[in-house]
Amino acid sequence: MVIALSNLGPVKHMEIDLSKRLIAFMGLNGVGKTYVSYIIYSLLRGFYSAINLLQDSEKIDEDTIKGTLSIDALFSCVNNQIQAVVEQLPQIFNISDDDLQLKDASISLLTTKEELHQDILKQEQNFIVTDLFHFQKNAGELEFMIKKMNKDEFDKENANNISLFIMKILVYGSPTATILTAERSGIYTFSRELSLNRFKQSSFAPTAFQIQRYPMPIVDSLIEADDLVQIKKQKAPTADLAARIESDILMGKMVISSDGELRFKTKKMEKDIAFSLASSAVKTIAPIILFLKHKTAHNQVLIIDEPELNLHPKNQILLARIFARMINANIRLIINTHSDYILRELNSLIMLNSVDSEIRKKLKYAEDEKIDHLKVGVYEFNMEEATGHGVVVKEVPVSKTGFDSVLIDEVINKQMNSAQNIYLALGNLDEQIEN
Amino acid sequence: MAEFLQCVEECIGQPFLEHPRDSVLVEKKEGGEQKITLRGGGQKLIYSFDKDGYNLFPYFTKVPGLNVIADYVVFTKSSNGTPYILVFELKKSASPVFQLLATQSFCSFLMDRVNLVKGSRFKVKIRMIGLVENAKGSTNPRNLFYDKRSILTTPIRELKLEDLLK
Repeated sequence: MVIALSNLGPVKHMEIDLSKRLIAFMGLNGVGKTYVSYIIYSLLRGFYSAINLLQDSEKIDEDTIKGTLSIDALFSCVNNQIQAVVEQLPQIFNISDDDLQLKDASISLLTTKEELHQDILKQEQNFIVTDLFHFQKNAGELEFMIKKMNKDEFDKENANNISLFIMKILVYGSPTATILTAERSGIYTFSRELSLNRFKQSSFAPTAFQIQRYPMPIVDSLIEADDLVQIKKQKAPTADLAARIESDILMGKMVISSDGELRFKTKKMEKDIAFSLASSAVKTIAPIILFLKHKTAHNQVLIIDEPELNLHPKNQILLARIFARMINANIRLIINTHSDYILRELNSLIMLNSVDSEIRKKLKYAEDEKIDHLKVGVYEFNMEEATGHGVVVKEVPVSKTGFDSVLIDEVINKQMNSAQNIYLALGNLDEQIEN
Repeated sequence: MAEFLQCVEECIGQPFLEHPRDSVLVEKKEGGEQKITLRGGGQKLIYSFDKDGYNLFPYFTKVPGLNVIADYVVFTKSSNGTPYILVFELKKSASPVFQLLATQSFCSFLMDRVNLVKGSRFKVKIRMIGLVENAKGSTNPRNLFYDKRSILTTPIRELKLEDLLK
């Protein structure tokens, strides 16, 4: 699904294909990358919807309804949600209604109704989302069957919420998203002090963040960090990837205590330590581990702002390889990054996809570390050359040999040339000629 | 007009010509051997002017820097026929710039003399490549950037010749 964003903070215009498994944003500081990731998060998070996709359903028995999904209604539901995000922008960013940064912001769906219909029909299989939701493709139509959980299940409000859930599953491929903001280290370190249980309301309720002090994605992260007792109960199919990060990068394990406190246990220590005493790398990686252990589901979207935070280059490279495993395990990943190490490794992993498996093994890369270039979308945010203000976002071509990170490469080369010129200016020719 | 590579081969002594096995050039340096692999490209002549038993600049004094020459000089042509000279200097960590610039001036002198003797007008593009083991490369190995002086610094030791002809 392709959406267009316009006049969003510094971003004048961009078009983004949300169907990619890996989306990478690159660019200078302060050019709106985080703004865009907040918008994508908000679209996937969803807001109250007044559209009922179950209207034409028929009752099979007391517990079950079935029907055929109307593409017209589904398309309206998508547009309705996009408009809901536009209307909620001041709340999403926690700014005043008349803030000039977002005054003229707009979001629009570029995918047509027919394309949306075809996309849904093209999807791999019939959906069995949970025991309660079944979708089946039949002669170009999408039939659904929904079982209720309790006697109130099919009332109007719940039907609207279920409709929103269905729309997100069918259109975005995922009923929700998780965002790990740049504040994640602080959020998990001070979650108890910042205890925000009072904000916890229905995720669809329009009043969910009326009293917030931070942008909505940060508030959501605070609520989640305060709910580790519940999160601990969920088991995700990607726990092995979490274990790999723990062993290869952190050299220890993340532990959630019985009262919901996050703690860290190194391989060498007998007892675990308070999260606040763990290294900065542990603090920024921990939320990724929690996601992989407890939250992933098929097609789940994970948005990570600056995954390189606090990590040594060696660990940034290892993390990029974990990203490849994540997207091959059907997680959809959106990252904002300034790390040349991560970008260089992603390029290697894309090239690896076209390399003979014997060479891959010789280079010590695993089969599931390969990345198909067709599943990758890369966007570069840059200042508009003509005016020097305003940001233009370019989609960077991705081929079997990867993609270019022009702005970062320019900096690398400039720095290297400066260093060489300074060295040359030292005038110690004997040393220069010998080394 | 005679062919570029033929003119060069007729003018530069055979002892300096390299015949690398499997495109791999091995340079003995202080601190051990260093290798580069030059793959692909069309016809090329690879020279190493730093040979034991030869004094390349007998008329110079021993002022530091005067007798300097880079490790390899490659004469080749791009697919559209543009003649190129590629100068290679291998380093572990230090700057290769001095050797490259010194060899650039040597190559300019060499081509002026070839053109004069052969009556040719080859307009050669000289490109300098510093292969520095611990340099920081670009985010994609296919992206090789020359600076304003036509110098490229890269940690990559296995290069496709056609990628350097720009």
